[in-house]
Amino acid sequence: MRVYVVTDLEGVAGVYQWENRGDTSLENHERRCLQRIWLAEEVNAAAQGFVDGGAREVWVNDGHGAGYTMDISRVNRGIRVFHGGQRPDYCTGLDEECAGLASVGTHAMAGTRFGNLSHTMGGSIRRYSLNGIDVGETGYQAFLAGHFGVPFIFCAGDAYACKEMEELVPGCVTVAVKEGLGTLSALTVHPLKAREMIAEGAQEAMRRVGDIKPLHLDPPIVFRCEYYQPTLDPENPPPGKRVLDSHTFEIEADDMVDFMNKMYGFDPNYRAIWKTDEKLAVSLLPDLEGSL
Amino acid sequence: MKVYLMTDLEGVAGVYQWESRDDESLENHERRSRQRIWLAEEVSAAVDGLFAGGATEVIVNDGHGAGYTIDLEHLDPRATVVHGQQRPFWLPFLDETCAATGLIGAHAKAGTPNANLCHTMNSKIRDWRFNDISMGELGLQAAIAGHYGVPFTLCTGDAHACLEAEELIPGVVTAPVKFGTSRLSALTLSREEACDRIREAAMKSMAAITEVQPLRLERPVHFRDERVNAAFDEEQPGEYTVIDAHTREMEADDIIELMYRIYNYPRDWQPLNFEPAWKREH
Repeated sequence: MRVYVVTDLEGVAGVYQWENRGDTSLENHERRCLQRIWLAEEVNAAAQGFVDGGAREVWVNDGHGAGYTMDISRVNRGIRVFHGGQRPDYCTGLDEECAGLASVGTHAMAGTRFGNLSHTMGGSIRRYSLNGIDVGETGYQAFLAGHFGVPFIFCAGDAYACKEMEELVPGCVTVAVKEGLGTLSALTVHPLKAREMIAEGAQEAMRRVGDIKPLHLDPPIVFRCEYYQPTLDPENPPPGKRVLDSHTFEIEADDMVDFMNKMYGFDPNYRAIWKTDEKLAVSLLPDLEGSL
Repeated sequence: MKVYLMTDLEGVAGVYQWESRDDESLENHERRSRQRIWLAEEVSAAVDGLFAGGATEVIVNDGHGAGYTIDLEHLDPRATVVHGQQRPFWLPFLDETCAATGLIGAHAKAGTPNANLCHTMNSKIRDWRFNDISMGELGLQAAIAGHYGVPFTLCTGDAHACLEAEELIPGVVTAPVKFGTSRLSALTLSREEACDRIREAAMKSMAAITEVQPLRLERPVHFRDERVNAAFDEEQPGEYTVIDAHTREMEADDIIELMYRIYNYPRDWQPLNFEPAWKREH
């Protein structure tokens, strides 16, 4: 069994402010280094919980910002990490071979009152919805997983994000390592305590993996994006987008993968190299059963 | 038993000067890094003492300056921490569910002679009076806790702050870890003894919970805000009564309402009390 984990930074215990990749001060550099370790250790804890609960493989998508946020030197052996920019698809490796989707470092969707660092993608976006259902980043990913019949099983992060995911996916296991007090403040558990809580929750999620329904959308899929500011010109709609007004566009697609391809211009013919060769697929397995 | 600890930097043993968050020199960076560790050590000593004395939960408010002063890597992991900026209240989560409150790293109120780094909130304020009682940050904390029936049982930091607490709150347990000799100087204990004394005081403070009366201000609360420099315009008083260019007053039903009016906090915030579904089933 393979668990696919998407990570973000804003919902990690101890992080409460936006990451600033432009500030070269020593103070900011040290903060970022520390936060990258905290994220890696939360991922390690989640992976340990999944493996203790019966998973064999843990694939992790380093999802925050620049795509290199997890301190790779702190990631336990046996874990596989997708990182970097200009990726070939939205969640590389998330497909029907996964038993569940999980998220670590999760923040709530844009507009969540008192959510810590709540946002959806960039700061300009007010709302995302799929067939009329409001989604944040994690909900968006959960619907993509649903396309492959994969349930969303585990969320660690801000209590507001956990609440959001429990409402969207009944039965999923959540671990609130912090409670937002506002965009820039939070009540947090200690990073060490967060790791204990995450490991416990991740193991519990594996117990429930068979009971959680994958999210489903009836085709066609209508994705809607609203911006805070007037951004779009209804007289000159971008290709593939239906511009409703200066704040809002829609994309209609056959399914979530088709939608992602239309949204981001991914090549629908992309095929991962480990999919082309059985030997390579086997070489991705961890050396020892149940070891990280 | 849940204990709410407020923290500040100026009363930590070894700190004697104002923190500069603008000075990017290596010297200042290293000083700040060390002071953040010292604060975390003193808070950890308090957390340890509180648990030893019977506390089951400790909320630590990282109260100094920018709201991120405690070095989490050096903090007792049993503590949960309020940190960050633009908070919805000065002391979020301090309410009737707490058994006691205390303050680590305390400095004396503005205008205290010979006190190290004394101030009230910021350098602009000359004096804050509540029902004509001059109170600094520790007094305000005690009064907010008192509103919820929670006693202020522990104060560690500058000896001047400890005396201030004792005068206001009979029976409060204090641990002076430094002795202010002027605004920018102090006689300090060693780091190790400071932490030992804080641990001991914190443990004792748990026994004081039943002895110390919550500090309850009579209602309505009359607030007087005096500034060092001319700051107020009699012709544009806002919600206040402007007495003169240095002084304004306001009356509120209680201390909580007063805080909302001073700081314009959002009135719709309350603890989320989120309990994951799988934990509720257990």
